Amino acid sequence: MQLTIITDLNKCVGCKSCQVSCKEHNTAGAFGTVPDHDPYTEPDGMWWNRIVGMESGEYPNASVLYLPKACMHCYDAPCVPVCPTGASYKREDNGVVLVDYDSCIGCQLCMWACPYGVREFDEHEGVVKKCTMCIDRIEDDTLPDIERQPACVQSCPTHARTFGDLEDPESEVAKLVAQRQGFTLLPELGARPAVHYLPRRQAPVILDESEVLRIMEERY
Amino acid sequence: MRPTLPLLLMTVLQGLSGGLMISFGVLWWLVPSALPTLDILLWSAFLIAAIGGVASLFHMHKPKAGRYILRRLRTSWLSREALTTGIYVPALGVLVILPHLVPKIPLEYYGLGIVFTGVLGLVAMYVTAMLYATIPAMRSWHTRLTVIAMMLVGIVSGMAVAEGILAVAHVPGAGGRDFHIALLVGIAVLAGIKWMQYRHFLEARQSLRTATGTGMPAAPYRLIDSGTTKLPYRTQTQVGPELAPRRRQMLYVMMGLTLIVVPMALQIFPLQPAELGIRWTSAAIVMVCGAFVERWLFFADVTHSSRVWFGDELKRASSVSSNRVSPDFVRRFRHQDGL
Amino acid sequence: MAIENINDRTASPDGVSRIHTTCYMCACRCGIEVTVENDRIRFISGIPENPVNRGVWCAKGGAGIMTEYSPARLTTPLIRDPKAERGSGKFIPADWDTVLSLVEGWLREIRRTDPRQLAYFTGRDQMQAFNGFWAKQFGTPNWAAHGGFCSVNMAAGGMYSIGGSFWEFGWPDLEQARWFMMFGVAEDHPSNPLKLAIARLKDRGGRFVVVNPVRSGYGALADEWVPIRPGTDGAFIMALMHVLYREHLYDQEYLKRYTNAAALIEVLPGSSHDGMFIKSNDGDLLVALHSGSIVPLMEAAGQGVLEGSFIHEGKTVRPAFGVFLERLDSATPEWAERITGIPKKTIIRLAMEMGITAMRHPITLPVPWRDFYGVTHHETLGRPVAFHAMRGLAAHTNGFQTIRGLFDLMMMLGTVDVPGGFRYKSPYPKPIPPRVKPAPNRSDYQAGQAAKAPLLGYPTTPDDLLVDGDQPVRIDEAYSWKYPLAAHGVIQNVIRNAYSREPYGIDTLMIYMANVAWNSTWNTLTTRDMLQAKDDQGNYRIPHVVVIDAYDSETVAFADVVLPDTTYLERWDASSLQDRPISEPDGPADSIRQPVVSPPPGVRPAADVLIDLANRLQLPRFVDNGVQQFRDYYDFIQKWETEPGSGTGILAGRRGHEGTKTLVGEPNFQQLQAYATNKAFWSYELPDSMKYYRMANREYLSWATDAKFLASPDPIVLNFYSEVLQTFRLAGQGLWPGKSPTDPALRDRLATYFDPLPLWYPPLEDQIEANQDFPLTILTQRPMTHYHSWGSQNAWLRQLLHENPLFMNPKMAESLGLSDGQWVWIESRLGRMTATLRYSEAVDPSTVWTWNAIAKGPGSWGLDPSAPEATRAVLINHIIPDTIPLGYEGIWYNNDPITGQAGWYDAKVRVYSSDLHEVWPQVARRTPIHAGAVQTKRLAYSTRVSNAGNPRTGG
Ligand SMILES: Nc1nc2c(c(=O)[nH]1)N[C@H]1C(S)=C(S)[C@@H](COP(=O)(O)OP(=O)(O)OC[C@H]3O[C@@H](n4cnc5c(=O)[nH]c(N)nc54)[C@H](O)[C@@H]3O)O[C@H]1N2
Ligand SMILES: Nc1nc2c(c(=O)[nH]1)N[C@H]1C(S)=C(S)[C@@H](COP(=O)(O)OP(=O)(O)OC[C@H]3O[C@@H](n4cnc5c(=O)[nH]c(N)nc54)[C@H](O)[C@@H]3O)O[C@H]1N2
Ligand code: SF4
Ligand code: SF4
Ligand code: SF4
Ligand code: SF4
Ligand code: SF4
Ligand SMILES: [Mo]
Repeated sequence: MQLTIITDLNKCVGCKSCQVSCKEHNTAGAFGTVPDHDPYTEPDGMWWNRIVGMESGEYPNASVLYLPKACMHCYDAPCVPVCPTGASYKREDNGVVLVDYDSCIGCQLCMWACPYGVREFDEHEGVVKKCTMCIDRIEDDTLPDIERQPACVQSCPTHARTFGDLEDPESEVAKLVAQRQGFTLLPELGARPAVHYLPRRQAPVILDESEVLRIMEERY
Repeated sequence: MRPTLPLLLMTVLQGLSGGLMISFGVLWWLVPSALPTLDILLWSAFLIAAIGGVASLFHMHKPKAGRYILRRLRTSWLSREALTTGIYVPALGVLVILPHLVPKIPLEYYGLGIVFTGVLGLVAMYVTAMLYATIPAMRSWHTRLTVIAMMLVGIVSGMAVAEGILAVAHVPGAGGRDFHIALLVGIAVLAGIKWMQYRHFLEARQSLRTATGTGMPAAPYRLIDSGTTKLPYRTQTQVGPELAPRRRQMLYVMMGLTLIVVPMALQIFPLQPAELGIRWTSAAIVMVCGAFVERWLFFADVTHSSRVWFGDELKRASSVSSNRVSPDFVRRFRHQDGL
Repeated sequence: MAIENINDRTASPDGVSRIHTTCYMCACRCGIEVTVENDRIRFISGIPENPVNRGVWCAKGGAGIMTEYSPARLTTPLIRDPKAERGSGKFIPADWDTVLSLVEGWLREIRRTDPRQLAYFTGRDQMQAFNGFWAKQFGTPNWAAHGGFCSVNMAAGGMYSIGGSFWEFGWPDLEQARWFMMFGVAEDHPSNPLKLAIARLKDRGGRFVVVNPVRSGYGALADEWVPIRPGTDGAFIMALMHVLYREHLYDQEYLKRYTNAAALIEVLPGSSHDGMFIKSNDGDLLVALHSGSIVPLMEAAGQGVLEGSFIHEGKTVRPAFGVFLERLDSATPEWAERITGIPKKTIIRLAMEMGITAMRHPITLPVPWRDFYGVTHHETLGRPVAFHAMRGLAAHTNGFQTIRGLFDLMMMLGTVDVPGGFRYKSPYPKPIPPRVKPAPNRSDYQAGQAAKAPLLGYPTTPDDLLVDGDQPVRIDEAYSWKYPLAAHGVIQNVIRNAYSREPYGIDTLMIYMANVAWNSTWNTLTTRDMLQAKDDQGNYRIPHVVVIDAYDSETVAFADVVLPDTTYLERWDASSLQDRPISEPDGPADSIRQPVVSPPPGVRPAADVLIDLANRLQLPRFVDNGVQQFRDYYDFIQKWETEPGSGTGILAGRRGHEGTKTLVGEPNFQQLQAYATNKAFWSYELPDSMKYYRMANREYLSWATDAKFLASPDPIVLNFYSEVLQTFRLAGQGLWPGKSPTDPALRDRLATYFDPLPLWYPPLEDQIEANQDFPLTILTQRPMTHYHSWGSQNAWLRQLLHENPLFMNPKMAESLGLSDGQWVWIESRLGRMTATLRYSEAVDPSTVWTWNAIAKGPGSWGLDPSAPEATRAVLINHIIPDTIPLGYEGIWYNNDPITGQAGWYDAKVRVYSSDLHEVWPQVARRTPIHAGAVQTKRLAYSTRVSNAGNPRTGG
C-alpha cells in the first residue's frame, strides 16, 4: 500500500484552501504545532503545503499554473536514509513518510536531502516537520468517514485533490494516474514520488478554423 | 543558503586538523628526529579537532536525541560522520597524551598509532565530504569534486598551517624542500579543482528543468507566488537567501585570493630565511581565512533542486523547446491569433 | 444570547463539541462545522449537506480561527479622547451605558427635528433586512448598504432586464453547460460554489473561455483567454450579437415567447410616446403576426415577428428587436476590434462557437412543464451556453449598459433559466424591475415618524425619483437625476456630500461594517481630510461619527464613538430570503449563525445594540404602545414579519408554532434552535417541473405567489427592451409628462445614457481630455485568500499576501524603459503614488493591475506600524478619482450615470521610473490598540492542553 494525493492541475485555481486547511488541522493535531514567527509584524511561518503560482509563455499565449506542493511521500525517499537517528522513516504498511520528533536531533540534513523543499524546521522545538498525509486523521477511527482523509483533500473547493492507495489498481488515484497521464515532479532526481499531478488538458474548439476563415473572408 | 557557524567551524576545523595530522605524519617520516619539536603539530591538530567537535554539537538542535545518532550507520553519512569523527578526535587525544603518560612507548608502536590516526583523519574527512556529495537534491554538491575539493582544502590548509606553526616555533625548514614543494603542488591542484567546482556550481544553477519541476513545458517561467509573499527563508534554509550577483563575484575573488593566490605568492618567492617565519605564518593565516571563505561559499552559493519553485527561471528557454510552435499546429489546435 | 443556551452541542467527555453555523469570512455564506476543544476553536470545515459549499471551504474560511483570536479585536466601547483630534485613533474606553446614552441623545434630537440628519451606511452587511428596517423606522431616507461602491450595475442591470442577476440572484448552470464564458471575475462571492461549478465543467470537458484583461485564478484554467481592453466589453458583446444575427445563430423562438423583443414600439421622435410600447386596453404588450395583424403578446403565443415596420391606429410601430438591429448593423467585429483589441477573427469565431453550441447542440430534459400561454412542453429544452460576469463589467461607468447587453445576448441565445444556461435562485425571478420603491417625496420623511416605504427599491419612471425639483432628497443622491436607478444607494458619495453640505449637511454619520476611510473610498487622503474637517466655528463639518466594527480598521480611528461588535462566531444571525439568501437554482434555502464561542466581556452583537437603541428611542414597530417587541436580535429573527401577521419573516424554514410550516407560517419561537440542531440551514427543492423557465412557468409562478416571492402569478416577460429606461430618456428630452429635471446638464445625461437598448460608450474617464496623457488603465483584483481589508489581521492569511507589486506587460514596460522589480510612480490626473513593478505576460499591455486592499494604514488592524502591509504594500485608491470634471456645475462623481455605481476600473494612469524607493503617500502611524499582543514573537496555536492545564499558544 502506498497512500498518495493526486492533484489535478486542470482544476487547481490556486485558492490555497489546501494550504490553510493543512495548517488549520495540523497546528493542533498530533504532529503540531505549525508555528508562526512575528505573526503581526514581518511574518514568516511554517507551512506543510505551499501553493506555488507561476506564469510562462508570451502574451497573449501566456499560461498561468498553480502547483500545490507538500511531501511527495517518495518511494525512495532521500530524506530517510540520510537521517542519522532514524527519526525520518517511511511506514512499511502504507508508505507514509513521517518524522519521529523524539529522536530527531534537528540536524536538518533531511531538509537538504528532500528534492522538493517540503520539510520545514521548527527552531523552537528543534525538530523538522512536514506533511504527515494527515495520518492522525486517517488512522483515527473515531472520526466520521469524511474526515478520514487529509484535510487538504477534504477542503479543496474544486475537488482537484484525490486521496487513496496508489498501489491498488482499483483505487481512484491509481485510475486517475493511469488514465490522465499522471506525472511526478523532478523525476530525474530519482526519489520516485508517490504524489502525482494530472496535466492540463484543453477542451477543443468545436468548429473548424478554416470554416471561420471562410466565413470571415466571405462576409466580414 | 545561509551557512551556520557550527557547520562552518566543524567542517573547516575538521579538515584543518586532518591536514595537520597528516603533515605531522609526513614530516615525522621525513625527519624522524624532529619528533619532539613536531609535538606541537599534534597538539594543534587535536585542539582544532576538539573545537570543531564541540562546535558540531551546537549544530544539533536537540542534543538529547543525540544518543540515537548512530542508529542509521548503514545508510546515513551523518551517522558515519559521527562515528568516524567521533573516533578520530579521541584517537588523536590518545596520541597526544600517551607519551606523557607512558614515557617509553616503543617508537614503532607509536608510529603505528600515528599512521592509524592519520588514516582515521583521512577517513573522517572523506566521510564528511561524502555527506555533502551524496545528496542529489543539492545540485551543486552532487559530484566527486565535492569530496576531492573538501579533502584537498583540509590537507593543503593543514600543511600550510603546519609550516606556519613550525615557523613560529622556530623550526624553520623542518619539512625541508620536499614538504614545501608538496604544499605548492597541493595549492596548484586545489586551484584547478576549485575552478572546476566553480564551473560546476554555475552549471547547477542552470540545470534545474522547469518542465520536470513545474509541469510547465513552456519555459521560461516567472514566479508569481512562492506560497507566501516572500521566500520562506526561515523555514526552508536550503532555498535562500540567494547571493546578490555582485556579492557572489566579490566573494569568489576573495576566495581565489585568500585560498590560492596570496598563500602561493607568499610561499613561492625564495627570500632570506629570516623572513620565512613571518611569511609562512602569514600564508597559514591567510589560507585558513581562505578555507573559511571557501566553505562559506560552498554553503551559501549552493543550488538546491527546490529552487526551481522559488524564483524566476534563470535561463531563457532553448530555441528547440520554446513555445514558438509551428504555425500549422497553432492553426489546428489553438485557434488564436498573434502567435 | 448567552452561550449556554445552545442545546445542540454534543460535547463529548473530552471537551470537544461540533457546532454548525454559517461562515462570514466573506459574504459567500458557506455552511461550516466548528469543532471546539477546550473552549478554543480546533477546526473549521465545510458542512457536506450545505447547498452552498457542499462540504468544501476556502482559505479564508479555515483561517477564521486566527480572525477570532486577532489582536485587532475591539474589546470595549470607545469614546474619542476629547483632547485628541478625530482620526488620531486616541480613545478612552467606556461602558456600554455611557456610550449608548451618548448616541441615544444625538439620535433622539435628530429624530425630533429632522431624521435626514442621520446617515446610516452599512458596508459588507448581511442583515440588510434588519438594518433597512431599522433605518426606515427611524425615519431617515439616508440608509444603504455597500452596493453603490460594489456592484449595483450588475444587480440593477439584471433586475431591469431579467428580474434577476448573477450571484445570489442567479447562476450559470455548469452542471449541464458545454460552453462557458466568464467576463471580469477574479473571485466573486459565490466563491466556493463557483469553484465547484467550474470544476464540474472541467470534469465534463466543457469549454471555458475567459474574457479579462488579466489572466489569473479561474482564468488560469480557461481553455481560451481573451484579453480585452478594460471598459470595452459592451462593444465586444454587441459584436457577438451582430455575428449571431448575421449567421442566424440566435433563438428566435425564445425571443418571441419569453421576451419583449417582438413587442411593438411606437416610433415618433419628439413625442412623449416615442420609444414606448403600444399596449392593448388591458395594458398588454402588442406584437405583429406574420399576417400583419397586431395582437396582444399573450395571444400571439410566440408568433410575433421580430422585424419590420407596421402601422397601428395610425402610428408607426416596430418590434423592439427590429429597432435594435439598426444599432447592431454598425456593431461589426471590425468596429469592436478597434475598441476592444480583440481580433475580429476571434470575435467571429467565439460568436459562432456559442451560437452553434446553443442552437445546434441543444439539450433536452424529459421534464414536462406548462408556460404562461397555457402550452404544455413535453420536454424542457436547454441551450448549454452559460455566462458569468461580475465587476469587470460592473465597475465601469458604462457598466449598466454593458450588463444590459450581456443579458440581451443571453436572451438571444435563449439561455435564461434553461438547462445549461443561466438559472435563477429563489426568490428570483422578480417582476422586471421588482415592485419595491422608496417613498419619493421629502415629506415622506417626517420628524418622529417612520419612513413611508422601504428605503431602497427600483424606480420605474422618473416620477419615482427621490428629488425635490432638481434637488436630491437623499444625502448620497441616490435616485436623483444624477444617479436615477441607484438601487443600492451610493455610499461612496456620502462623506464628500456630508462634508460639503450638498445637498444638505447631516448631524450623525453611522458606519457599520465598511472601511470608508481606506479601501472602500477613493481619493483616500482627501476623504480622510473631509472626515476631519472643521467649519469656521471650529466644529467638525460632520458633527458625529459612530463606527460599529469588530476590528481596529482605518475607519475606527475616525470615530467619535466606537461600538465593538462580535465576530461571526459569537452571535446569532441569519442569511434570509428577505435579504441575501443561500438559495441554489434548485430551490430556496436560508441559514443561520449561532454563537460558537463567547465574545469578550465588553463586546455586544451590533444588532442587539441597534435594537437596544431602537427601544430607547421607542421606534415604531420596535416599541408598540410602550411595549418592546424585540428583546434582541435572536428574538427579532424569530418574531419579525414583513407586515404584522404576514407569516413571512427572516427565516423561511421551520415556521409555525410547531416548526412544521415552510416559507409562510406564524413565527416559531424555537426556530433558531431548530436550525441550530439541523446543521444551521434549511433548503427546499423545487419539483423538476418548476426548475426552469420560471419567469414563464405557470406552476412555478403560482407556487411562488403562495410563497410570497411574488405578489401575483403574472407572467414575467424578459426585458430585451427597457421601457423603463426610455421614460428617463424622455424626461431628458423634456418629453416626459411627469417629473423632469430643469438643469440642461441633467437632461443631457439622461438623454445620452438612458437608452432602452444596450449600447457601448467609452467610460466617462475616457471621455475627458485630461486623460490623454494617461494611457494605461489601472485595475485591482481580489486575492482569493483575503476579504477586502479584513484579511490582514489574520496571522495565517497575511503570510500568504502582504505586499503587492504593480503588474505590467513586459513589452509595455520595456517600451516605457522600465525594468522588472524597480520602483515606479503611478500617476493619475488626481496625483501620484509609488509602487514596485513586476513583469507579467498574463496582462493586456494597456492595463496595469495589483491586488486589492492589501495595504494598511500603519498601526491599524492589529499590525505593527512597520508591518509590510504598511511599508511595502500599496493602495491604489489614493489615485482613483472620486469626482469627474464633466464641464457642468457642481460635484459629479465618477459613477455610472444610470445606477451610481463607482467607476473603480476606469482610472487612467501613466507609469514612470521613481527615485523614491518607498511607499508614498503614507498616512500617520497609530499605536495598535493591543500593542502588546502585536509584538508576539512566536505563535504556535493549539487547542491541546499542556501540562499546566492551559491550551498552548506557544512559547
Ligand atoms: N476572496 C475574496 N472574495 C471576494 C471579495 C474579496 O475581497 N476577497 N470581495 C467580494 C466582493 S465585495 C465582490 S463585489 C466580489 C467581486 O468579485 P469580482 O468581480 O471577481 O472582483 P474583482 O476582483 O474586482 O474582479 C474583477 C475582474 O475583472 C477584471 N476586469 C477589470 N476590468 C475589466 C473589463 O473591462 N472587462 C473585463 N472583461 N474584465 C475586467 C479584472 O481583471 C478582474 O479579474 O468578490 C467578492 N468576493
Ligand atoms: N481600488 C479598489 N477599491 C475597491 C474595490 C476594488 O475592486 N478596487 N472594491 C470595492 C468593493 S466591490 C467593495 S464591496 C468595497 C468593500 O469595502 P468595505 O465595505 O469597506 O469592506 P471591508 O474592507 O471588508 O471593510 C468592512 C469593515 O467591516 C468590518 N467587519 C468585519 N467583520 C465585522 C463584523 O462581524 N461586525 C462588524 N460590525 N464589522 C465587521 C471590518 O473590520 C471592516 O472595517 O471596496 C471597494 N473598494
Ligand atoms: S485547494 Fe484545490 S484548487 Fe485550491 S489551491 Fe489547493 S488544490 Fe488548488
Ligand atoms: S518529498 Fe521530501 S520529505 Fe517527502 S518523502 Fe520525498 S524526500 Fe522525503
Ligand atoms: S533533522 Fe531530524 S529527521 Fe531530519 S535528518 Fe536530522 S534527525 Fe533526521
Ligand atoms: S495531507 Fe495533511 S499534512 Fe499533508 S499537506 Fe495535506 S493537510 Fe497537510
Ligand atoms: S467562501 Fe466565504 S463563506 Fe465560504 S468558506 Fe470561504 S470565506 Fe467562508
Ligand atoms: Mo463588492
